[in-house]
Amino acid sequence: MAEHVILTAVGQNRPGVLAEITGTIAKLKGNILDIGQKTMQNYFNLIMIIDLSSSPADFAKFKRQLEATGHKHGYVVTVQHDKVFRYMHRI
Amino acid sequence: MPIYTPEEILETIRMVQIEQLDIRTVTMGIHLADCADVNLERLCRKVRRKIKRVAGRLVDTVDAVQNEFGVPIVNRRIAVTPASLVTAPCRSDSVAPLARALDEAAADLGIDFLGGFGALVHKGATEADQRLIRSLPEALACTQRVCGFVNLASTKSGINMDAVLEMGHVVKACAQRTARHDGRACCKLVVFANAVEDNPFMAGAFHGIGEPECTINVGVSGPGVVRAAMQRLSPDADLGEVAEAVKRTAFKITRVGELVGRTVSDRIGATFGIVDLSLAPTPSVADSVAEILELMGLERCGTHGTIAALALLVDAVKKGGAMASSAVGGLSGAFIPVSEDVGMIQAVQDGAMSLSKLEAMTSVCSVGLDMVPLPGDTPAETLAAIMADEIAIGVINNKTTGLRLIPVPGKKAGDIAEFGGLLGRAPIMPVNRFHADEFVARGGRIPAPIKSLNN
Repeated sequence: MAEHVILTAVGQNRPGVLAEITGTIAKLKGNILDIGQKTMQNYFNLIMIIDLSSSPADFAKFKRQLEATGHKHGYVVTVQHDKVFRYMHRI
Repeated sequence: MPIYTPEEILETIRMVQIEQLDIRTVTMGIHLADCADVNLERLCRKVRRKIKRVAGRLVDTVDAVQNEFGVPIVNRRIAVTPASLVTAPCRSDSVAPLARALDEAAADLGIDFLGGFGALVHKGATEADQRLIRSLPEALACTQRVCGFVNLASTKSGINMDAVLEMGHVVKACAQRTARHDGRACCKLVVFANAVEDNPFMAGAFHGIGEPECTINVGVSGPGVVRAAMQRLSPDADLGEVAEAVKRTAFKITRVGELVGRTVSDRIGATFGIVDLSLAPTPSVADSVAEILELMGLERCGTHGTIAALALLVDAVKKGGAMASSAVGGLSGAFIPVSEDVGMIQAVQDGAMSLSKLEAMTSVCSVGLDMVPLPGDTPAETLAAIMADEIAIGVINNKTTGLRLIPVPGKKAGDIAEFGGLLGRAPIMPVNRFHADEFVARGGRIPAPIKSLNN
């Protein structure tokens, strides 16, 4: 089973947010498998499923850098291994 | 590739970030009987070396897993083989030095509580057991992290009333030695009926003799998550729907515990033991078991209807949790500690909750009279009689019951006891002023109930 990671981001919407996040992912050679986004009253809610198997970065580094990206630009990024979701929502 | 709906993903995020889903504890159980030695000092050295070797990576591994899964893991703890067995060959008068060695070992590793400084005397006490029990007040008063326990009864053997009375005195002595901190040493001592060998929660955790070399047991927590699920229900939902909502939530909470337990044990090379399903409250707001019961429709926890509501809650938690994990164990029920649950504290202060009601509630939930502060002048005999009552509930109903009683020196009913930190604070509850001295003084063994003859 590949290393899949779930990234969620929440914050105030403005042009460039998606580019910032995907830019960091691209630098780390993460492969984005799926994206979902909702914007509600000027807040965005972003979910991505990312495959890290081609990335030279380990999970911890990936998580640190993505969360730092959020911190730098004023929104909250959360990165979790997909196992949590698999265990909770599938038998 | 499994596909999760955005709703599922956000639900997990919400449970963690808003509803206070966390793993309450990852507890490593360590077999220490191979450290036994006639020389206590040598035994202590062997124990420290073994704990350092076996548990050296525990904190780092748990930190890494916490980071990967994004679920807070609040405590990292250790449970050891009952100390009376480990110290049996020793020739010393007191085994309190072992408690100090365990305390240092825990401090070195960054572990906040270490359980197992105890004995099982349900049929009778050996000399080693008696020495351990005599050492308890000093051991618990002079250590920060060490927790003790004594198993006083079982459904198969009956109730050791000599030991019950002795523990009444031990609890008093523990309180006296820590009078300046409201009897804090008593917060680290549990007496049991039918104690289980794989409970991950303190203060009653120990590594039972049927267990392998090293296990990882997980205690999840989710009163906040269950509470939030309750709040989302329509006010017209009937009790069957309430049970269903609790059950589904318990499933999800327990799944996280299963994942964490398996991952930590794989990485450390220990045996995965169990997930304990207990709903364990914290002093945080919105993390209260009492409030869940109140959301079911009780004006205040402790009033009539509380036992029925608690029975529904505990049963639904078990049903949801059982499906979620390959190995459910420990205590697995609801905790109703007076000092660690904001709603319970309020209920006592409002006069809705009494010691008698707490006792009755323990007939349907797992834990017992937990973190119950009592007037400082409560006699040892009365403490023993309170223990006998709770233990009888456990023995007759073939379940675990336990007591953590704290007679707070210098304080009386209605005063507030302050234990600090995770141990919280609680209002002192009154005891019945009539005595049972002659009853407990008779001693001997209350025989095992006939229902134990089930072969």
